Amino acid sequence: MLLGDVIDYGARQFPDSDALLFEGSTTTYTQLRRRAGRLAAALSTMAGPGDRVAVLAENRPEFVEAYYGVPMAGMALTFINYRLHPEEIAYILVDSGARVLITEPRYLVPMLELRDRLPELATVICTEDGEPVAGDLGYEQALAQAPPDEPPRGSEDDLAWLIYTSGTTGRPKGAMLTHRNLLTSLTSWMIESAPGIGDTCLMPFPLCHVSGYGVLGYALRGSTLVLRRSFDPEDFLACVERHRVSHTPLAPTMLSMVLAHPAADRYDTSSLQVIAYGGSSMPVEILRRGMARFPSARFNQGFGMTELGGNVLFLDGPTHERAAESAPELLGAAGRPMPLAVVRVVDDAMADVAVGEVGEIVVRGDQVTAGYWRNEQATAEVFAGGWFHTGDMGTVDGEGFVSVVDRKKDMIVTGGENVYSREVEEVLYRHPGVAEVAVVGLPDEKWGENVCAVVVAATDAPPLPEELTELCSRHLASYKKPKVYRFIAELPKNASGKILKRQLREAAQPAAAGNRTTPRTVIT
Amino acid sequence: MKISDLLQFSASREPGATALVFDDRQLSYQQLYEQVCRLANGLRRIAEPGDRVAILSENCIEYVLAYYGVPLAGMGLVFLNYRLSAREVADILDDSRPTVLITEQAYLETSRTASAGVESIHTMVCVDGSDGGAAGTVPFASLFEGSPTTEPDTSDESLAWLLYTSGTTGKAKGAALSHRNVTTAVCNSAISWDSSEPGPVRSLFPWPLCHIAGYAVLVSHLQAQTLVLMRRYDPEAFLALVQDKRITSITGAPTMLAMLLRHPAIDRYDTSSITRIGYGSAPMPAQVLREAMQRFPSAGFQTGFGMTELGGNVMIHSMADHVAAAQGRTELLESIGKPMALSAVRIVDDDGNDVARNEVGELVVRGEQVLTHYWNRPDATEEALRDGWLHTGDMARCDDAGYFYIVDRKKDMVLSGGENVYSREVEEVLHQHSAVGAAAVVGQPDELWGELVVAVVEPRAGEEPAERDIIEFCTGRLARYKCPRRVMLVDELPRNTVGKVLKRELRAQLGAGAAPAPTPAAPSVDSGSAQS
Repeated sequence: MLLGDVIDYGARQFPDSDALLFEGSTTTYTQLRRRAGRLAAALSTMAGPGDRVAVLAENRPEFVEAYYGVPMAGMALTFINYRLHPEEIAYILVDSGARVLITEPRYLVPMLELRDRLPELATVICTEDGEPVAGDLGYEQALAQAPPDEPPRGSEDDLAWLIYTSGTTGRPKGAMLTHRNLLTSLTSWMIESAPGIGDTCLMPFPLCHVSGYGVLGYALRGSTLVLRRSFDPEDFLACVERHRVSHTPLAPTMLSMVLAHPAADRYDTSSLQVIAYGGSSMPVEILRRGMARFPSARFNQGFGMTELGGNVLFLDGPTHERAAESAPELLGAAGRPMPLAVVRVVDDAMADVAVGEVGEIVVRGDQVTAGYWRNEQATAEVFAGGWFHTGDMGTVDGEGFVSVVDRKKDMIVTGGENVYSREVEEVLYRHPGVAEVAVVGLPDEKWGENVCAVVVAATDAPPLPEELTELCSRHLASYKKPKVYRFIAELPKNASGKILKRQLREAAQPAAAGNRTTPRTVIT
Repeated sequence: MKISDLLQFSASREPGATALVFDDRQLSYQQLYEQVCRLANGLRRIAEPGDRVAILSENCIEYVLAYYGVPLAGMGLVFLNYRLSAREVADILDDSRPTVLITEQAYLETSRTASAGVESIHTMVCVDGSDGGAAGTVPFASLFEGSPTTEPDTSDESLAWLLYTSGTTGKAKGAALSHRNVTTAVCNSAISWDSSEPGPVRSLFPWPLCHIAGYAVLVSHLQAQTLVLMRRYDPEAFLALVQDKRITSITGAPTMLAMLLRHPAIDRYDTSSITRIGYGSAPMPAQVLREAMQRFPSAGFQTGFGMTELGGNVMIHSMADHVAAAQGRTELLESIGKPMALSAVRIVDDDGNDVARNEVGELVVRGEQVLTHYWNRPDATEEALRDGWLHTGDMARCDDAGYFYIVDRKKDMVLSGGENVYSREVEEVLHQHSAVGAAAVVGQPDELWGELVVAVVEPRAGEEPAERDIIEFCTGRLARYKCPRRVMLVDELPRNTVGKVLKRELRAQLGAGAAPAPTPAAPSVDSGSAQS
């Protein structure tokens, strides 16, 4: 089955149901299907099967149309994070060799300026937002001019989505996702956590992030997606109230922001039935506060990666409830394997670790990427031993719950000891003066690395480092306690809310040039 | 993904939940999974991966164990219809060449007779009977002794299930279903079926497990539901179980449902727990739907369409559609619904091109649940699987709203005087006659007309309709060329285990018994000149 079949299903089963609500405009499933088909037909005049079509835009209906329409043309939808610097975007456009770029007015000019460096890029389509048509042609114009016939059906193993992931080192890599990868991920997700038929849902993640695949699930349920350009905590609350949203995904940092927002209690959010979080580890404190703030909602978690086309571990609603009542350690778990994924936690010899021991989370199944675009070396590295290596360190308990201990690359090695940054963060979160914290390793001649905590204070009176040290010594072995505390107004994050530890590491170097953050550094 | 992975998934999530209930026995998910592993390991001691293991038995827990355990051993489970004669069973055994035959006391005789000439079978396993079983058989329980509860190493690419489907001529064909075929069918139903039940689901399953309808057991298990299995359907036992187990989900054929509604015992049992009623095999008469909706006010209704070759269903006719049907759009009840999420379905002409809306063509299906091949029948495989699409042999049309309707089996179409006559269309008219209990329309070979339209009628109890009356009844309601030229009255129409009329048997009877009918002077049925 192909991505086009998903929207076909939606249009057949729920022809007159609203698929998208966006800034006052409405698109039914029938209309969405038709427009995706028009887009496919239009693209077939500009590029051929196997070509890449990039999208550079915030969330808007045309992006959802492209989710389906580009793969329906046998082409690969290339996701570009709109928050990247033009140089980074240029890198992705060159690396992917995109032949067509679909963008919106806000991002058009920088793209046109790059054109000379992009010989493969033949056509730039710009959405028409009541402004004069720019680029080579307007989006509506392209649809209107499209030939009547849709392109022929492709195959499950054709590349459908090409999503560039920000690496912690080196350049971004394009994770290749076929129709088969995405349909497998979608099926697995639908078995675990489908919205009810006709529910109203949100998609707070940027569509240029793999989490957008949840939108495909909405089509299988005739759900209405209230689409917003980007995430804003108060806007989120207002939408939930206004549209009686019942089902929403959410990143942990988005939840923090909503909870911290002064207007949080002014909105009626009782319509929420399911909050499906994921994207990065959820601090237990934040989850607790979230469960208390949204008592009507069931929380569930999906653990996944771009390379997995979605999620492979699931922590369901009942487990959250059990955890809140009597098994708090489960609140920090990532979950149990989903139906169509095979997940193991292994040591360096690829043997399963014993219960409670730390190993790397590896995955196999039809949803796993075939590899990185034109990067055999990176692909070979990540598939050592025949399994996909997530780069996440974890443990598994006696019931099969996998917990993520740290990103392999975020693990700190100090004085020969492994320190899992997440473990330290969880302790620091317990201090009411800590709104957000990221723990990173700083190079040290003597110790290899020092543990450094970068804190965003909850109020104008930030906690004293001594208090934090004292808190840590009550819960952590001595070598795990941060040696350095820095206080910062805001943690750097990517578009999906993930904290960018690499940037923190770079910024925290005392001798770093161009260091614009002015943290207060306190060394204990 | 292996078939047993569907069970293992639920065992890892809800190990203590009740998976299966049969008489006074029940198994939790963990127990069921462990038994399945032990069975697979036990089978490995007596047979090899790649072998077939056949089963001839009525419903029992062991059958469900075999559903998962035989494929987990890397062997293909051959489903044998317990209503077949020894000769027919022998034909299937001869074709599938299993090495092991699992049976029960009640079918021991048939098993022995049928396997007499089948050299491949070296072991017969008996699921019941006193210790030691019957002479020459191995007790099923012995396969479990000393067998580990961990999975043997098995590929998911081997043959998993082999089910024989009746052909129109000659021998039945074995539909070879891989692990992928079956697991895809299960996932397709799991994500496409209405699952709006608020609490735990408890399903009642009275249907023969030797039929592809049994895939529903896997769908229930993937979703960690409780399945209550009956050995055989019996209306009062069915109602008692609905009450005792607080059954939430039932399935049946419309005639069965109609009879249940009229059963004297129905008012003695509390059936208020039912929230989902699935049905199949035939369309639901509007009147029966209305009565059922009244009798089971909390229930939603759902149907679909599937085939053995598809490992399950590919079409779904939703609960919402049934509400619309009950509110006046009764024509919707004739529909099989729309394609499910993981199946691609088209209606094509003889050249494989899509027909226009409302035009009749052949239903073709594509998807990973479509069978890989017919066992030992490259000819049948080539004929049925073309350009990646399974040609179902069902004639269908799709209306402007996208609803599909089965018009006829291609093989059941009667070609008379150059005209296609859809037997189902004629049957629907016959069913409106007050004296007709059930009717089947088939073609009888004829030199002049090619085929004659013949109606085989099972009269209502106590009725003895005249052939001429029946024919006259039709002429007012059907085009002349569609009306039956002959009517045969029978006590009972031949049917299979799920109630479908076996038209090939009728054709065989008509073909064998009758000499070509003398040509009437004028092909006018009004004059009642049809031969009997």
